[in-house]
Amino acid sequence: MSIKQAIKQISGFNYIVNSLNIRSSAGRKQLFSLPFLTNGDDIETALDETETAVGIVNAPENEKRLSMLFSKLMQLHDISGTIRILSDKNILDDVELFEIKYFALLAESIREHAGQLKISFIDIPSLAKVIDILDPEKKRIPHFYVYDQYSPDLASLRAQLNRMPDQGYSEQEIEQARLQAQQLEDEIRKKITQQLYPHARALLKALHEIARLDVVLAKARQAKELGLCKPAIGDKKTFYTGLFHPEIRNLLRQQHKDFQPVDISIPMQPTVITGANMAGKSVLLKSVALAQTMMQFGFYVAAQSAAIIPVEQIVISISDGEDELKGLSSFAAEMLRLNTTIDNTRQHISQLVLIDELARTTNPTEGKAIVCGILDFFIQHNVQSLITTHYGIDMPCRKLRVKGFTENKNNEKITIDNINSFIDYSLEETTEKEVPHEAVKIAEIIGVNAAILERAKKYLKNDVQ
Amino acid sequence: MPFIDNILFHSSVSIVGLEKNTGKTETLNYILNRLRTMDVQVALTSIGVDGEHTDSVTRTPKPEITLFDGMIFVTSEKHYSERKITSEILEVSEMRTALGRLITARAKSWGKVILSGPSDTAGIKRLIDGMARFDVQTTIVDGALSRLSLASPAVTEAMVLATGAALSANIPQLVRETRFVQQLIELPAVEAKLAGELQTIKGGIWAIDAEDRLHDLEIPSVFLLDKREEDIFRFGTRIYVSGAVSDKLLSFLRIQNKNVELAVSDFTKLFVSQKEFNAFLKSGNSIKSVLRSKLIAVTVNPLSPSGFLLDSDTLQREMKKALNVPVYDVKNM
Repeated sequence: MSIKQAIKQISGFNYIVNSLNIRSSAGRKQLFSLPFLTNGDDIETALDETETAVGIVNAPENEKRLSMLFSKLMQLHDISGTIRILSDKNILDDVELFEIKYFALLAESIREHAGQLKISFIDIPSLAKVIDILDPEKKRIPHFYVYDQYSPDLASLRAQLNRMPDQGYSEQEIEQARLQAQQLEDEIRKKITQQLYPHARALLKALHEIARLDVVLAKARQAKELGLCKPAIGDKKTFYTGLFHPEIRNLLRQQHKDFQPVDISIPMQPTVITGANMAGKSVLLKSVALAQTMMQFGFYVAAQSAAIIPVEQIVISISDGEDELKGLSSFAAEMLRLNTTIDNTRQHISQLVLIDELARTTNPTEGKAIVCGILDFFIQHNVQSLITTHYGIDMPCRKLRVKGFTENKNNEKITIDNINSFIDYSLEETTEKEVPHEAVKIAEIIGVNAAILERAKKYLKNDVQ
Repeated sequence: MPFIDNILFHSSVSIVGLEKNTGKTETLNYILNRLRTMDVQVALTSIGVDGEHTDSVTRTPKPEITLFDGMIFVTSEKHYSERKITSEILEVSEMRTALGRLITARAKSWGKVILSGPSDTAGIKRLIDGMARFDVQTTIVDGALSRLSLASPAVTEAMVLATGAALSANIPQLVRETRFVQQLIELPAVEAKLAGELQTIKGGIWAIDAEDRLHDLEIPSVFLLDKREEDIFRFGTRIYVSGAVSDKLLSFLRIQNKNVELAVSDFTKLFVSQKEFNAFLKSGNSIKSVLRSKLIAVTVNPLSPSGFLLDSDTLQREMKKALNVPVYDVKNM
């Protein structure tokens, strides 16, 4: 999975990417090339880097130097194109030589700041030699032209050229002298470029390391701002305390509502989750998918604490209306996604499977049978999965129930605006086969027309009898 | 005030030709030649028309400008590579134009360059503001008056107009036409606060109510105006047109008899005849401009491309009388 695919597939990941404050275009490019890490050690290394950066970002004494570093990062141009021209042993023109000098001076200054801040996880090579080549005046100012100092011949030719108009030379003669100077400049450019060839690799590494620094610092700042935590690499099971979904939390905050974080553990076997409508089952699955994704791209995760088992694939089936756009019915799309999980299991690809209301778009008899069939397969193959359902399922597997409606102690009026303060989103283990029967009650609360509800209640009564 | 002192008195000045062969390049080269001996930091750029290699007004290849040691100039990557001057690169923009990125450089000798700068008004404005970094006192903009250009020279604090026999071979007519352009350049300005808001508007026709609130009249084109005459004044008679203003629009507004206060983004958007413009103002309407510049001098070229020569003294005298600004003959500066 690439960052781009994750933005498309994982709810809330786009929000995470957009709220990263990356300063440079090279940093942005670096972000989009981050790999989806599946090896625990790689993830640990990435998370350790973020942890170091969090420590640096959080230390008040670093504030001034950090803001200087950030302003340097903002001045960074992505010169990878120019470095490529250099690596291919082409001769650089003034603009390209300027870019390299500008970059080398900036990189040296960033290197110094990073050293002072004791940022250990990046290694910017020294570009002092590059600067020496491009700064014969030793002014250390990021300007460039083919300086007189490169060649006494060029210097005297230029001086002569400058006097020529006042000494009555013809335009043709001046043009001739100018061409001669240009030829000399070309030779010098060739020589300078050749001197730069051996440094192409160091330039590219410096650019890459600075871009990486930009991304890691942005991750650290985000961790602080959103209140994220460093997850541990899980061993036997994945678990979260205080798991949340930053984008939805932000939306709720705008409406002056709270997001209730949830604790959940996800063992290496299927878990069925039941709960009333509006009890936050879909948001739970989205939060789990998001945290898993964030960790595997080396981000801190949206929880109070977490231990997460890395997987090779996250298979999600949460209906979002996209399927219809692809010309598939939601049932067909869901069934095809299930095929992926079966294939993965057969090929021993480790996966986390998150399915929201499996087989809900078909008749309850067959729907329930499909859920049982899938669960049977998942139990047999120990597939780490969360499956939410409204069906009463009697299978020998772990079951969680969202607590749902709390007691309305003060007998307040429940409306669509305050309903979420009457729901307890936390989970509890259950062995019950029965599922909550609160659909009609909720429909009533959110203001569905009584004409329908009265009739529904009548049918419900008949059914029970 | 002498011509050059007057230019240096402003932080930005554009030089604009009213017709090809009116001597804009001569004017520019004259100014630069005079500035050469003065100990002030100036910068030069041009209003680019994206993707065009030729001057937007003249449709001839862009002329080379002669610069001198120490002058700062901004041009595109393409034209920088074609320069005939020794110059030191100070900055390379990250923003790209059709001719590449913009290069800011300082001349290290005399020599020639082709100037091609930002192609939109906001870009020119940013560039002028940014020149303070290099201690520039005055930025001179090689301007263009063109429907093709998104950038307007009105963004500069002051303007110099190049006019001449190429525009009209009849002195009274030439003076009248130049005077009309001056009138447009010096339209009264929209109040600063409102102007700031209007500058953020990208298109369309807007009403400004009594509390300075803006309402999109949702008229996709001025050509559809007459179908909506009922409701265009529902928020009052102050109207802002962000795009081009034609004779047709002015006459339509005039015959409503509502004492309209028309605001335009800058004078280059007014494609109107003198006759309609005057009629509009005389019937109790007014026009204001978001960007307002000031005409500080006129240069005249008495020679037309067809070889017809106007009497320079008369032309200068009449021009000066009508416009009340210094007038110079480019062939005799």
